[in-house]
Amino acid sequence: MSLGIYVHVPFCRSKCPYCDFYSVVNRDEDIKEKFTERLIREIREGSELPWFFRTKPDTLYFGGGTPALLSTSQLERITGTVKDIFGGEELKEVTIEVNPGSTDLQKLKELRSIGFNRLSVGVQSFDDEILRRLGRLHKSQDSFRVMEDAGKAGFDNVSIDLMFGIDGQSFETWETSLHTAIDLRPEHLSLYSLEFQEGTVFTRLLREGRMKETDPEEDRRMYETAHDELERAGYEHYEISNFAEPGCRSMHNMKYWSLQEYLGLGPGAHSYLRREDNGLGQRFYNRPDLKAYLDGTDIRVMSEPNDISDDASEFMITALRLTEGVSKEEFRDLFGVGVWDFFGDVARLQFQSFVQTGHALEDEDRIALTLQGFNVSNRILSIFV
Amino acid sequence: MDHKEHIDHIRNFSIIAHIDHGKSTLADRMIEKTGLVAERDMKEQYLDNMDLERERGITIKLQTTRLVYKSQSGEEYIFNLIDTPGHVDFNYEVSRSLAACEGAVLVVDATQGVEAQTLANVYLALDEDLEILPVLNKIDLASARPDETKEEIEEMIGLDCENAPLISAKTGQGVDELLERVITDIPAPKGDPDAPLKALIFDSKYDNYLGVIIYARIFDGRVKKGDIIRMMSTGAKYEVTEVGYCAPGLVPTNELFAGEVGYICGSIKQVADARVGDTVTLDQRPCAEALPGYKKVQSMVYCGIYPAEGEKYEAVKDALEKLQVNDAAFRFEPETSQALGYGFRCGFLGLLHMEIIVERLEREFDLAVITTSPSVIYKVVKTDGEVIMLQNPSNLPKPQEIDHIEEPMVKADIMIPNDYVGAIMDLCQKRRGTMLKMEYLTPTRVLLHYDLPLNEVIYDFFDALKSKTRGYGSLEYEFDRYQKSNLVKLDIMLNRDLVDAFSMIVHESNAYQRGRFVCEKLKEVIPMHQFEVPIQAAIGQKIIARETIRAYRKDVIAKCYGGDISRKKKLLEKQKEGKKRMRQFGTVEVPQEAFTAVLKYDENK
Repeated sequence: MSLGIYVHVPFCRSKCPYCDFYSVVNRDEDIKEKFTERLIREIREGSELPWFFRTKPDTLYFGGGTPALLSTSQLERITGTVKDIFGGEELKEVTIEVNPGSTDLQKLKELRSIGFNRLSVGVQSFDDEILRRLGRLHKSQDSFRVMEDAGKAGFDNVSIDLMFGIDGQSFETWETSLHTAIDLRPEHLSLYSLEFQEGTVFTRLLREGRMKETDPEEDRRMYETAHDELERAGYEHYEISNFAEPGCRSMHNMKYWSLQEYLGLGPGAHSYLRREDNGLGQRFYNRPDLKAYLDGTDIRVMSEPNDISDDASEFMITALRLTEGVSKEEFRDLFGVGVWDFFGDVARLQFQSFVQTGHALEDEDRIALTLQGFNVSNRILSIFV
Repeated sequence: MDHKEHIDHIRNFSIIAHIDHGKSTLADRMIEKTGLVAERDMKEQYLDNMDLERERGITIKLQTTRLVYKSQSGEEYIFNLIDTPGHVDFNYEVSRSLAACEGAVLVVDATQGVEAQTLANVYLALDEDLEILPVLNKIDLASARPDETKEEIEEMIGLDCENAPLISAKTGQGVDELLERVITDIPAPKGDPDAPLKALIFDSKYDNYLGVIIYARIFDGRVKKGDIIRMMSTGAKYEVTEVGYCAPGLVPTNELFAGEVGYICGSIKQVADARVGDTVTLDQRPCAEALPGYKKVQSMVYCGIYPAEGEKYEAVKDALEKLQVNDAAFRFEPETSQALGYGFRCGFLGLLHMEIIVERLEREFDLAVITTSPSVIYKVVKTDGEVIMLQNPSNLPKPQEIDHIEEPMVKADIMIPNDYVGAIMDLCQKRRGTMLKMEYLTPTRVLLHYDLPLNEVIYDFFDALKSKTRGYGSLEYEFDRYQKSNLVKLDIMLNRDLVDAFSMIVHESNAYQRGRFVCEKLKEVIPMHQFEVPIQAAIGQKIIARETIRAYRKDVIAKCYGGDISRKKKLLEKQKEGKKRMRQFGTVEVPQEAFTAVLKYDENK
């Protein structure tokens, strides 16, 4: 198994009212330079952790925030340091998130030239009114252009994000966005039902009664329609929110769903690595505090080391997000016993009740959720915590 | 000091009052004034020693205490202050406590006036021929209206209040005078110390070391360690291991004499062997007849108590046994429910008694239990002539086997300000009551006499009365008779499976309304499932009400990246936690609170 490396770049031009990923609005070039230097130091210092270097990274993912706000040379220095320290020879997937409207062809070409080979484009919607509601700075035209430019720049692995279940978004608007997306033929799509996260503007508006939650029935209709249409268009619905052309799944994100190691760098980034002594997981994260980070403070917070049941339960609640679910054999390889031996009869019976209602599947080899099960996955996953 | 002189300096009395009229506070003040408890050790309401009692502001178990009072004349007196429980459920215990006294201090809140319970307790005291010393409390409050209250007492009870002490138990104002008045107004006990022992048990409790402690008033004779005593109702004999006074801790003494109040221990294993109201005598030299008034207490209300998910049957059984050792009025026996498994059918004096037992299980024994709908005891007369006293609705025989059903009726006295007469008559009518008499006790205060089915009284009647009268209404009731009635069994089905724990017996005229109510309530409290859950109320095969809980449609975290799974995990853990508090019935999960929610019946909603 190889390592995944995630770099969190916490800068945005403006804060989207639904987003709870850590970012600050800052146009100061000086700060970005300081950030770059600090990040490079973190990568170098990180090598002191005993876990490092056990595996070489095969994925590198720049997320945020808006990582493309860093200059090409800053990005190159960072990727260069990652390769220096962790080794770059096994890197297969190098992704960067970009926004339509703020990324031109020139920038895309530069990104491609310094080794990025996958784009994740924050399209969100092809309806300008919805984009306005979402607080996005771009228009649908920008999305068309960036998709075209991506091709010109030589990207052959592009993912786009779309959102649904937004107050004011009709079913028809959603379907149109969906069709438009399919026509653009990206290799990968992530479709998110709008979630009201603690601390966001949307959540405040919701509490104040100035915004509505989409009726669950309508929300699921949008979701199920997307499933049907994307599958018909040749995409595989491989994770609750993710669709890909065959062979184009996000290698990096797959690590989150299969208990593989990843190292998060930058403020607000999360990591999961295996301890050398017992092979069990150790989670840790950097506090979302740019100022402290730039001051050179150690912002790393270690979680309690996982015991085997933490690992097993985290494996289940992430792997069951995948359409293919959990392979019983893989579970046995990882934890030494069968999945029901591990979780017990009560869990098995509870799971069975979801099998009976068509929300889950179980056969000789695997257990998994159905599309219907995805809709209510929390209920099912909670069996395993 | 000879015996005569000794008992001339004893005063045995109770304080009687309506809830919140300040009985416990006055007792505290008396204890403080007589120096029994240092001020710094005073807990609020010293005598209410269960947390539960202090929280609810009511006295459940009696507590008796011996105070030594140095009077203004310089002579020392012994005051035996016998506390009484403060709720209609415990009337019998009140009457036995009063029987141990010569007098009673009647505390009336000068801001509230006379309440139904005040009256009821006064009547109990008069039944025992007690001298009653009326006292007006809360005189320090601006809203106190002592003159009106005096008039009320005179009018309603016929007690002369001209010289009634005006006190504030809270501030201590007037309490010195009251203590003097106890000496002058309440008679000293009488009794022949050389006659055969005749002692009244007015309370008993279990102690791990001493066994049952009998609290007794000695009417005649004497008792000491080594005596063989005999319970007159059962003939059971015990050797006395210790006697003494309650101060209020146990203070051993050599001998208790006629006129005195104290405790007797004799390695008695459970309080049911030393029942309140029974007479204790000496085995060798018994008295000719027992003291009057002994009754074996009857349970009026029954319900099932079941271990909640994950709780052990044995642990619940142990706890119930321990509670029973100390509570002769509480009974239980094993039963099984299809829905709830193994549990116990428990009998109580009333709903409050039931709530207290359940709360004690939870607090003192740290057990989670499920209680089923409380039920009264129905008399079921079968077509073959057999009579069943039915405690558990789910055991009702098939309709074709039933000739008729009788239900217990109570005589209820409801006292309310006259503004609320309409509202309360309406309430009583909805509860199938028949008004027997309406008395204007004063121009603004009405006493309604009602004939009511007990089963209507136990469904939240008291709370409804309180809310409809802004807390001013009060209620007293006692069992009157069994009466033939048109009763049916209401069953509840969840996802088409009958849940016997919800079955209840209701009057036919209320069945539809009650069925609808229960379905609506269950719809509120039962969470959505991954399938639709129909809730049905049925009489026999006939469905009379139905609600449907929709299947949940969406419960998913769309975004799960950045590798931060801790928040997601927490959310799932919370969901799992919630699930643990659920009880599985067939395919349906029901939260524990569903069982209490269906009891909160308000016909106005």
